[in-house]
Amino acid sequence: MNSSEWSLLFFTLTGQFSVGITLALFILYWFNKKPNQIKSPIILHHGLITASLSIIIALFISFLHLSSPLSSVYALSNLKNSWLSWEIFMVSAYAMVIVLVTLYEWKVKHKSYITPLLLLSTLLGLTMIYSMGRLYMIETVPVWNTPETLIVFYINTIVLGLSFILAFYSDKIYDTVEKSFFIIILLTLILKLSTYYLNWETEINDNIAFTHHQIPAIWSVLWWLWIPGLVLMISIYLKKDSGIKTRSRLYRSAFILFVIAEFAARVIFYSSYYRLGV
Amino acid sequence: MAKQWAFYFDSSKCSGCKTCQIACKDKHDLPVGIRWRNVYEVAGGDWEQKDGNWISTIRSYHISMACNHCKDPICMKQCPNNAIYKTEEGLVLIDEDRCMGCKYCQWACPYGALHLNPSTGKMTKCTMCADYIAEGKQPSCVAACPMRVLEFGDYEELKQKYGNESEIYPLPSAHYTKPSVIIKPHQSYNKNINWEIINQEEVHHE
Amino acid sequence: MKHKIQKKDSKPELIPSSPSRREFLKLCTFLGGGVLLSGGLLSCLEGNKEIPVEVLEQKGDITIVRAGCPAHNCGGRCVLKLHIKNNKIIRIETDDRDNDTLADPQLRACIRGRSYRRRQYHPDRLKYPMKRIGKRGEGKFEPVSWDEALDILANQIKRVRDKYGNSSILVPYGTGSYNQLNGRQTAARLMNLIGGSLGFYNSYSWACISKATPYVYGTSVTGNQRQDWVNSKYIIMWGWNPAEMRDGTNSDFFIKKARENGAKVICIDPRMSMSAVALADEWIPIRPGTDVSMMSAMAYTIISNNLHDKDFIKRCCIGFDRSQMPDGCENEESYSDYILGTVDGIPKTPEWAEKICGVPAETIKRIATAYATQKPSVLYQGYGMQRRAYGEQVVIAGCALPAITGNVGISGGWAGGIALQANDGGPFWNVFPTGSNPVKARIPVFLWTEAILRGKEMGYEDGVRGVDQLDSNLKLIWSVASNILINQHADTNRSAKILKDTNLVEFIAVQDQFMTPSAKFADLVLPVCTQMEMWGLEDGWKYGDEVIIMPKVHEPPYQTKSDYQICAELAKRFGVKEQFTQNRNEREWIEWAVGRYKNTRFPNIPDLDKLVQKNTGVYSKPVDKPAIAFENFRKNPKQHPLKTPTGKIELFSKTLFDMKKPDTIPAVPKYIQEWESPFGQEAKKYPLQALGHHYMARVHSTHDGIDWLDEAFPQRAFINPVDAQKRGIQNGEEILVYNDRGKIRIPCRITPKIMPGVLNIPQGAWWSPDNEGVDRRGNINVLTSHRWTPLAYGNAQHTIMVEVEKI
Repeated sequence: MNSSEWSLLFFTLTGQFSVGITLALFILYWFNKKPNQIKSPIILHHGLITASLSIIIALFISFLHLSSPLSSVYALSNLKNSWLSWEIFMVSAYAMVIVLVTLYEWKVKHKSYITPLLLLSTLLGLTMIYSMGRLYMIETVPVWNTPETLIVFYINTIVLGLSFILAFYSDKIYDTVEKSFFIIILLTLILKLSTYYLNWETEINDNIAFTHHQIPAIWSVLWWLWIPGLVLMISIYLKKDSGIKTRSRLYRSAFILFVIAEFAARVIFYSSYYRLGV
Repeated sequence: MAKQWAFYFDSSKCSGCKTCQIACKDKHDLPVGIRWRNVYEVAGGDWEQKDGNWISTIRSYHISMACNHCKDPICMKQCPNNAIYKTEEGLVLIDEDRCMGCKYCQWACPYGALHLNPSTGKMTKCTMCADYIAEGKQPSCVAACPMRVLEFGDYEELKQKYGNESEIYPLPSAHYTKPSVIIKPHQSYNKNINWEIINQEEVHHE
Repeated sequence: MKHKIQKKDSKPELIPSSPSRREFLKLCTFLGGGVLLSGGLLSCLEGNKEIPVEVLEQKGDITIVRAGCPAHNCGGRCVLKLHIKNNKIIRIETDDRDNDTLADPQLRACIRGRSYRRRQYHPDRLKYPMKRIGKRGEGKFEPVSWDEALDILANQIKRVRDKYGNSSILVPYGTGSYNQLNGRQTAARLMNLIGGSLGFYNSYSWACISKATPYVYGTSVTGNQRQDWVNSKYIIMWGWNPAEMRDGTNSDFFIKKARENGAKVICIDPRMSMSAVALADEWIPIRPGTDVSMMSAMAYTIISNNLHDKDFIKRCCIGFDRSQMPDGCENEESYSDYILGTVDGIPKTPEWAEKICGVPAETIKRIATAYATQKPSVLYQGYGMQRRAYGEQVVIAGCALPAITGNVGISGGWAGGIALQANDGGPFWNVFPTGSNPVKARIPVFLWTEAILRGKEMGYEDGVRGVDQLDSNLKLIWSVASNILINQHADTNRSAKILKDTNLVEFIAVQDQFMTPSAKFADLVLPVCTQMEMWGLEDGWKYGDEVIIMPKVHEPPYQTKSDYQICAELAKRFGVKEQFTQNRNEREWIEWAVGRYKNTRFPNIPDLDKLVQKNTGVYSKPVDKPAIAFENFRKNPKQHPLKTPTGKIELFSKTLFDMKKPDTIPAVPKYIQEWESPFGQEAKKYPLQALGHHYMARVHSTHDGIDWLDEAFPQRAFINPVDAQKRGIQNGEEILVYNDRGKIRIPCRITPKIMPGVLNIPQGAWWSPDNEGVDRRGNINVLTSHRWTPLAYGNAQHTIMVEVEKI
């Protein structure tokens, strides 16, 4: 992997992390039938700031992969044919909105519109992830041209975003919400396991001259770290009366393991690139 | 005025001498590491021992390839900046002012035609020497070939003369981008053979 | 009077390169002739500020000059179209004349010519004269002025001449330049005016083939003009790779045309070369050094199936069988005796040959039959197989096959041998007159290290000719346009050891454009300008019927001078300046050269001024009716006898017989096992045969390290997958190649296009030993042996056995 691919790796991870947080916040507020489902509004405040910072960092990193960043002013010219144009548009749109929502939350006293705003942000974010995934689905790049590409991007979003909330704010949400987050993460990770076993590669009936480079074995090993992470999370539920401090510690450890595993998965994704023809 | 400029390449007589590659480098002052035209050395077949002798079923040919100025160029579709455009005569060219060097075009092109120039930060590619064509001259590579295996002209005219084969290994199926190139295969070519590019280090690019 | 060190842009005082009055007047005549006015004309008026070429084609601010590709020793003679802007060549194109026909094709340059800017402006070009500090061979130098440098050289020549005699001085074989005024011939001319120097004969390229061909045909002019190949039905390219080494510009193109005209072409070669891929219908892999066995087996097939041309043999040959032996040899082994095994009891059957050469018997029979029946047919002998142990045999065998099949003297046929061009021998190569050498002694070109070690003991048996014995060891070497000393001579480590000893060769001067491995061993280094920085002229190498001009488009940069200028300034120090220069400057010498061509091969060639004005770069004689060698001889051998002792084609040579060395110099061509071969004891330790083919990226050692060429064709050890797998070697990793003479460590390229048991490290790479003496660039001469061939005293550099190891 070269330096521009590393930039893309960090860009996609931080961008998806941001959307994941937004999604988590949305779930918290959308399903908040009772006013006090959330123990403390600090979670919204911190969450939005983290989401905004992440997307701003992501945007900055994305410029690093360009050799002539000044010409990026033209990047929205090909919405008709280019998913990359769409992705740039969506990242910009989502970034603008999430920052505005953050400012709204910060400055406005009565946040009566917070939920629809979170809905809007989440929809934009999820659409952003969709365009991010679609741009990799190039007809001449068989290894990326499968639904798996989209699926793993969404998996990353959900796992990192939700486990982040659990890692640092599990004490600020009620048990039912905590449990529902856990179940979403669990189901998502089961899906992740299935992608490992399903043969997603499209049938290649065409010439491939240069296959991808050998991926160092370390990444394939680190890819599995989500399992111990999940086990740590499950252990919380096996010990019915674990204290807040223990639970936080376990959630945090799980979060770190998920981050490493997703990072490894992304390295494998980029390193596996090859193209039809030459 | 041609409707679609195209290359014709006679692989059956190409020696792999790379004069086309160097002529192009000289005309466009390309540094080491950037080759708009590459020459792939392809081999297939095997060595077997029979009655104490090594018997060769080795076959080999070369493919000289630059940009095929495709009729449906995937690079043009990919580019978010609309920096790649197709002229009226079918040439696919880069407007360097608009290019931001994201390499998205390079990821997609199945002919490896796009190259990032590290000193300018822009993507570059074969232009079929559009300036020479406008003067009525041949592209540099065509005029250079000592074996006279490269030609250029209107695609339809070349197709009448030479057919429309372009899917010789290692090139992919033509349906992806509809390349404006016609290749005459080497007499030893057979698409069922296990071919391999054996000069990978000389042609490998991103 | 001591001269100051000359500044970069000052002109050399002794030889005016700025236009003389004569030139200026000529220019005014041009003006009158309606010639385009341009910056070049202005330059003459202002005096060499800009490009000193009189007549130019302008394209905006770009000047177009067509010039010959700098004549290094490739077989090509091509035209470059130079685009010059602000005194710099910014683009190089090639011959773009309208005609591109069989009779008069364009002379298109290859990658070496097309990438010439990278050489012309290379930062490592030698810039000023230097003298050695430190030990010889270390490559440590300090700059000196031209005056000091030339004084040193002149004084050394005088000292050595006085102490040891002129035959202790050698201007070695060197083929780095062929444009009349750059090259060793300028130094040879000077030496011949001041007592001479040790002479030599034959060459590194063609020792065996040039010596052996006349034993069969009485002449070296055995080749039809190439345009005749289209009339051939079957062409065997035997160890011949014109597409890569450029054996004459367009030779590959002509074979392509022959194929289009219905000829079947096969390539017999240990490698599937570029020519095999582009031109052959079939590739026949053959074990290196065993070609005579296959040729003999082909003869066996032809003779035992009565496919030989009995009538031609009867009329035009001798020695074929006992019925036509020369006087005094009536009972000796004839050609067919050897082939049929009637004397030695070994019939040279295809089955016999198969075990030696690795070509299946059925294939040999098939090819032999085709060659004898699909006539007229060509058997073209490449030069690689004669650059081997007993290389004379393959030359004679390769001449015998055309003779017995009657392919001599007919259109579409080919007599074989060195094949200089009918009907006048072809191009001259060099017309710059060297005069005659007062030193009569001549050694074989390959034995110069012997002359250093034991010159005084060398006599006839060591190939000394002209005198009975040399009267001195070699004491001074003045190397011009040559990389023989270290890089290209065999057994590099041995040469290095010999040359390091300052008691042996007391003084070495090297005149070159780059710090070559040979230059590193100099006591004095003189920087030479390139061919674009002086006037020059070349003709068509071995085949072509053209004269190509090389106008000066650049001033020599830094303090470089042409070989001619250097020799002229040196001549002054010997008091022979006028005799040397004949009061001509460079341009006037080239005018003179054009005059020579006008008086000999090109009576209609315009003079130099008109040639420059026309700016086509080349003057060519279209070959509409290709000359056929031996046409008259074939029609009437009595009226047009050959210059052989019998007047006929000698399949048995009494001359060779009388040498009384039947084991190494037989009277008929025989397969002789090489002194390093897969069949000898040495193969136990060193099982692989190594070749060093002529790489597309270089002309011998010229162009090594030029970046675009290195990118296109990196220096590698090419190894077969079978051999690689046996040693656990992966593609691209560094391997160690070694034998008793040295070690090389370079990356490998696994390729199926070479026979198992054969390794190839392209020759010419610059010797680059590391601290342990292991060469890291792949100079194959680290592995070659300096043992010479028995008859021609030629280099057998391709006869090597090696082993390869994974590192």
